[in-house]
Amino acid sequence: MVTTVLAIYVALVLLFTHQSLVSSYAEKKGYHGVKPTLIGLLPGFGFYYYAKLVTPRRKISAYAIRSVFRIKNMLGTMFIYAELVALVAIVLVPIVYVIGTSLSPTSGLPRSIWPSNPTLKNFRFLLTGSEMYGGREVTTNFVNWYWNTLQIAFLTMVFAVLFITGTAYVFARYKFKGKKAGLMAILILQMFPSFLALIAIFTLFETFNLLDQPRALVIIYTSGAIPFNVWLIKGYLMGIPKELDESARIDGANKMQIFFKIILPLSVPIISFVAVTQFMAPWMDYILPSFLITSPENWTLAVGIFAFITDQTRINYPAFAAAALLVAIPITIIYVAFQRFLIEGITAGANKG
Amino acid sequence: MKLDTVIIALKTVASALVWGLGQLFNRQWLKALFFFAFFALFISIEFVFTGNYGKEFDFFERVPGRDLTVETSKGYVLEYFYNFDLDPDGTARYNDPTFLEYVAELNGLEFAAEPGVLPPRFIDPNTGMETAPEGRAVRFTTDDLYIYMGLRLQQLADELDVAELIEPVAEERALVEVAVRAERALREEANRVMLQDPMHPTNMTHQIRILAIERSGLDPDDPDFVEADLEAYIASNLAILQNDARSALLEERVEAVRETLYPDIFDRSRRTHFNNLYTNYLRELYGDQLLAFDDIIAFKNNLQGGLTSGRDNYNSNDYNRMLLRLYFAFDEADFERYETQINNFFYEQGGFFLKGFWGVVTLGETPQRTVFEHRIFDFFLPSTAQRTFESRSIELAGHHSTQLLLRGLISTLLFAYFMIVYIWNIRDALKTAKTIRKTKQVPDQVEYFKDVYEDAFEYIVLMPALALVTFISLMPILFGMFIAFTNYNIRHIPPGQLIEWVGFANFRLIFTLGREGGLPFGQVFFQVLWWTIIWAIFSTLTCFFGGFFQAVILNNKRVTNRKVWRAFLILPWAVPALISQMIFRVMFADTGYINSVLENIGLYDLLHRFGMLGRPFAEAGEGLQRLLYFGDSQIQWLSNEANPWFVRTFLIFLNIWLGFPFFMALMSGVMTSIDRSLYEAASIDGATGSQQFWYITMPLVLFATSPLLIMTFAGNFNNFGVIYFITGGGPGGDFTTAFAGGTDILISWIYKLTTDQEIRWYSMASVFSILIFLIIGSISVWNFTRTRAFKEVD
Repeated sequence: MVTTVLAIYVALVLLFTHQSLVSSYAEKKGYHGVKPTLIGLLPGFGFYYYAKLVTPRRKISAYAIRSVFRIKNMLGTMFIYAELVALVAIVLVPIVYVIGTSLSPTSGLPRSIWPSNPTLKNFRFLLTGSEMYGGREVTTNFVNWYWNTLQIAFLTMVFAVLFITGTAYVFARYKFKGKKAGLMAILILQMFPSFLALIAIFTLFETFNLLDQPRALVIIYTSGAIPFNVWLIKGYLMGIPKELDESARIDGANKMQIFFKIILPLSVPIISFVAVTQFMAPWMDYILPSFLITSPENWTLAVGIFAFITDQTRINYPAFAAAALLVAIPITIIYVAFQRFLIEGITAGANKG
Repeated sequence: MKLDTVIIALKTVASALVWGLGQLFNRQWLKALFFFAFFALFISIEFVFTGNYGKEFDFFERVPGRDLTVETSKGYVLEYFYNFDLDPDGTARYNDPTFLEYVAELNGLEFAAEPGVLPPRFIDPNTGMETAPEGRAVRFTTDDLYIYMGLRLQQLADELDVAELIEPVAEERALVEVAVRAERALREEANRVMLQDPMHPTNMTHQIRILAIERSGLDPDDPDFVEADLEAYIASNLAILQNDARSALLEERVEAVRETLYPDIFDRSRRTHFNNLYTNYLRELYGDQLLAFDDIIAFKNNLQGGLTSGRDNYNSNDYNRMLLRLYFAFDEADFERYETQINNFFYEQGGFFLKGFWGVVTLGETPQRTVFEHRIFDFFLPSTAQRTFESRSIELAGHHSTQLLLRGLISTLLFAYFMIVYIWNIRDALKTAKTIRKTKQVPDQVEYFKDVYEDAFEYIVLMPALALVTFISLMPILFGMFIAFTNYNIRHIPPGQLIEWVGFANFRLIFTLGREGGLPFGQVFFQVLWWTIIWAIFSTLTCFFGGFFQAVILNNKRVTNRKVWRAFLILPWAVPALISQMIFRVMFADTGYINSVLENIGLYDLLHRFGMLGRPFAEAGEGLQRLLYFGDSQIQWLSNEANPWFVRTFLIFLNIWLGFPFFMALMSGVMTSIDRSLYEAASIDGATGSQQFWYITMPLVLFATSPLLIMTFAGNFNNFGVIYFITGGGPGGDFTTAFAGGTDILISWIYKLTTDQEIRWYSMASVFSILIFLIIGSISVWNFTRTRAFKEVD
């Protein structure tokens, strides 16, 4: 097994090194773009193709071409691909493992990366709520958890955006008594570890009979989102030239109209950033729901999924893996789709406060 | 001049007393009305909507369960009417003037009956209708019982000399019993803890060494001391030493448990067992004797009749409540004792604000009480073949410390908002009065309110967010901070116990390396803090430079199809961290996938050869072998209790997987945005590729991203997920380490102290949270003051 894996590894490194060399060879001959990289995937043929089958697009000295095949360059390329291939493998192993596990037919802890007899029954288990494992019927509330989480995420997104944009607008544009104190207060507030509030929130929920109600979590998420995001959006809004507001005011617009007609359309990017991050947050939160929600049908995904690998009465590794996939896939897609946007947002948060 | 000043002062004082009054004197009616409206709201919250000032306290409102209703009580009277209508002298008792007087006095009701024609009825003199309000009817019953039964009880007591008989015997028997049970419970508890937590090998070795030194007479401080001698001694006496060390450790545990839990166990057993003995004993004495009396049988029969006829649909709570009334009717002294404890002026009558302040200051004065004395009357409980009712203890709600603190904080915050209006009101009265003196005319108030409205837009927009943040973020944080100054822990859990203010005791404990309840919080705190700092520094640096390295590789011009490679490498960042962390937990489990692969490829054999695997830690060699101890039969990636540093180091490496892609993506973004002309200029000046890298790329990239370094450090300092989801804080973690496991960082330790139902040491959790805030807060403030945003706040 070791030898197989090693052989595949070496083969891949060589293949990509070859691809890279073909690509730079083609570049010297004036061919750019994706095509050379694809042709480079055919061992040997790539060089042959660009050396013989096509005419060079520009004149190039033999010395320049030779630079591609210099040992130093070739070793460097090989080193880079050796590193990249190894790293991608490391990145992919857990992901492949989880996919493999999700297809495993028994509920135990799988010791191989791919089951010998894959099955979709774990997904069926999650989506229909019951399935036979080892001759015993097991039930789950996975669909409830998904629905709870989805509701919480959506409501949090809506309320957070509503509460945050107006507040940020006022802080960014107007001077009023208590502004500095307010900004400082919310800045300090977010430095406290959230656990400090846990007992009080529990008591508060107990007092107002909100325990075990998933949608009540929205209140906490929304409130918790305000400090950081107000600063974030405020920073962004301050980058919008004030002259725009002033000309609107001269035209007779009041503060409300300025906000809706001028500021809001210009701040769509940052507002969508906040919306996306707030939509995502409840999926990832374990602490609050685990503490405030007691009955399994009211759990959120984070709590439910963790129970699949820790709760002695519910342990079911393949179901865990299948659930992890059902959660991770949409979230991952959102992340990849918004990646530039999200990274910029985080950096903006760091630089502007 | 002088008079003017006095008038201004008077107006101000008037506003300070009654909001808006000063404005009234200033002849500003509108403003006066405005401020008075707030005043009225403020006053009515306290006195009208929430306070119970002057209301009479009804003890039985606090007792769970319903009153027995009209039917039952009336039934008793009927029973009374038919069965006991003759007094010894032959007059019907319901016609006995003394009795009628008594009934009227008791109930304020007329008691009407015509013998042989109409059964007796309670008539409300105001309406003339037949009625029997439940409380009154029950009081009639119990009071009546009291009169008759009380006499008989007295009689009994005289006959049997009960007082002398019961008290000493019961008390003594109870105490002996309690002591025996408590000791047994203690042993059980110690055993339970022992079973859960197999002996810590390090402790064991240490203990053996101490014993060996003691017994062999070898002294490590002696210049002639040779370590080998001691080892030889240990080797030859190993079995005995191990045995003795184990029992010494066990004894230590027992002591620790005793210190932690003994008072609780003792209290609990004392209460329940004494309760049982007392009840049984009294019942034995009383029950049979009492049932020999006619009217007691009548009372019992009637309850029974109500049940069998289906008239009454009561549950155990309701019947027990009735028994409690009975008991208190007999023992008034006891009733008064309970009543004075429960009937607290601030708690019962105080309004929203007064009760709030009192709650914050005292955290309550009476804990929940359990009353069981009424159970001596449990022979009254009716039963049928289908239904029986149990005699049970009654929980009398007391003051719930945490709820009082919470309500108090809400009151205080709301009070603060009212005070803002109050101060505004006083200052306005003063300012206007001065203006009037100067200009001799009343300023235009409509104009004033227009101005206010002009500025109010900001406040109106802020209002919802402000309210939310105040009550959902600020208030809980204040609450949490206050908890650090109390003794809120598993031994003081409301409503059973009260919590109390303890000042800075918890903080002192940490810095004097003290113990609380047998748990060495002080010492462990610094160990955990040390690991937290190491964790935060290394997990930040590895990801930062790992990301940088990867960005450099990825942006190398030799890499083709860069976007595809990037998409793969960014996956760990895009997959929800929580999910990946859980996956790691599964993959690196002792019998998990990774271990099976490593075993299959033969790495285990290699490790066996080097002694890093395959034997207990105690037998591992010295130095490096100890440092590289991987586990016994498996590589214990996450559970290596003997060598926690192995697990810690491994976690830091594992965290790179989770953390490098973000920095990689960020830094490749920065790299592509570096101005090309810089490189062109450099290469014209003859700079080589590596020079360009060291002098252009690296400084620019690191400079642009360094602000994130501090943020990431702060984030990792509180990186709950990696610790909790991968190792759960383990390996280890019991009360010898105040429940902190080998990889627990402060935040995950706090989580454990807060949420684990068997630990619940809230006060310490809060202390640690405050200390974290002080650490992270000062770092963040320092970082923040260097940013542009800080300078923009003016």
